[in-house]
Amino acid sequence: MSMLKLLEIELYKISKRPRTYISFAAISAIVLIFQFAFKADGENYMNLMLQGINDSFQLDKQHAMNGYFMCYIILNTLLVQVPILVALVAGDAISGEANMGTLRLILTKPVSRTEILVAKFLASIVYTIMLLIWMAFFSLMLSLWIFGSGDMLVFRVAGEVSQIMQIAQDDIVWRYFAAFGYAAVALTVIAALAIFLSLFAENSIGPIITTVCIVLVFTIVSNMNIPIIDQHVKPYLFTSYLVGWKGFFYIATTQDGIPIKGSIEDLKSIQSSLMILIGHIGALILLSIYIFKRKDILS
Amino acid sequence: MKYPTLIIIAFLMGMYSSAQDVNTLIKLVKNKLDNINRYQATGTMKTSIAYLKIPIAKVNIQYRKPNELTIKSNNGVTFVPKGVDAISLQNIFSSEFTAIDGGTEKIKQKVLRVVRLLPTSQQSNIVLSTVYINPSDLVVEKSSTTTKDEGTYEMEMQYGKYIQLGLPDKVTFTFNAKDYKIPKGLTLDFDNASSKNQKIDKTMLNKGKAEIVFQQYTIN
Repeated sequence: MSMLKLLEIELYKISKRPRTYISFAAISAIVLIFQFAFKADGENYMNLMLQGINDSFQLDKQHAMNGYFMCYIILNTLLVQVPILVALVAGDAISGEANMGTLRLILTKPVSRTEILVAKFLASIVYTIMLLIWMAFFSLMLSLWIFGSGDMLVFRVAGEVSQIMQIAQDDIVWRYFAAFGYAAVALTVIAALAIFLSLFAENSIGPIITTVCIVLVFTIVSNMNIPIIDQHVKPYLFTSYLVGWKGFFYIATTQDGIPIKGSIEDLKSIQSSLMILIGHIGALILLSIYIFKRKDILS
Repeated sequence: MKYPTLIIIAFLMGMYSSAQDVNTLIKLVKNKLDNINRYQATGTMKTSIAYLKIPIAKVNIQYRKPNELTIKSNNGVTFVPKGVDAISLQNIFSSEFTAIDGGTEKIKQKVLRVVRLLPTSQQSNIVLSTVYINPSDLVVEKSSTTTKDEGTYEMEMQYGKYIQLGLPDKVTFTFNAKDYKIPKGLTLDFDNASSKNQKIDKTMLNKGKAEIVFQQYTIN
């Protein structure tokens, strides 16, 4: 049986589970609530972000509150929660089969365990990408339709400095493509982790909850600003690199502080974060294959 | 006894004539500016302050007599410094004031007449303006204005083909601004290597500059 056929079967299984659609419904609901809230009272949020600026500058806040800005705000919030939705499906990959008693049956087929695991992993990646496309449609396309387009403001705290960066309208779309691409890799780490954990359980709740707990605890530690954690702990947590997509919106500037169109402030940092995430994926999948090949299948 | 009296009279006459010169000079400059009822101009505005990383904006500037000036951008998001409407010098001359001669000063190889303007009305937002006038072209080359609401701002003008009308080709507007600080929790930032090394010259946090280059005037 070809890998493509295996992948097709796995995708069919994913599409037949109701929980698959919970994620799509949850993303739609969260994005729509955000858009409604910002349409109704977005100016208060803008005022909060612009405190101090309002006294020195006049700014048309309605134009600043455009679809590109909205998408950035939504992704900022949503990409912290999406790992939970990815775990919901990927954590079920092996343990779900074990729970239903179909794992032994699958392994009697003339395909290797490696192929089965890789097919399940690829199916999880396809699901993750579909989820991101859905998110891109709702958070970017719908926001552009509701709020219109324009230059995008990015608020940032870099070291001890608070900054506002403005990206020209014609320099934004490629950044979103890059950011969604990066997010796909980041979320694949979660899928790989959930599949790895699902090897050790006979029902899917355990690996899903364990994945979510690991992501939550690591995310909290990643967001702590304590020098000893910054130096000795954060570099080793994959969650420190999940928000790396934001790097595509940190535009490089000239000596005068004028943004350079098409530039990224620190491309090397994004590349190294990406390599670390890909390293995690590789390590988790290889480890999963190693364990799965030696595992006694009793269910 | 005769000589000291003559010296005092000569000194007082000198002061009177000097004050009269200043008032005449101001009147000539003001008359030149008063010939313009309204103008529209296109141009660019480059705003520089430590915490803002924004592109050079294409702007439309509209002026209407006596002191109504608006700056709007074509792309919508433009940080326009408050008080920038003072770039229309008519704003300074629009209220009643007392002119005090500040002598002369050499700036960029030009000998300019320094005049301090004190508004007579207590309602005026302007507390004190110092203008540096080029007496040969009858244009204001530089000014420093202290206001009640927007602090102190300075302007430097460069003139070109519209010098006969007293309209500048370029204005550099320096202003005071408040520091900008937002909590990190609000932005959930990606701590890349470059961000950790970012330091700032704190003296630059409260001083901003806007350079407005006028490209095309449509007058009256």
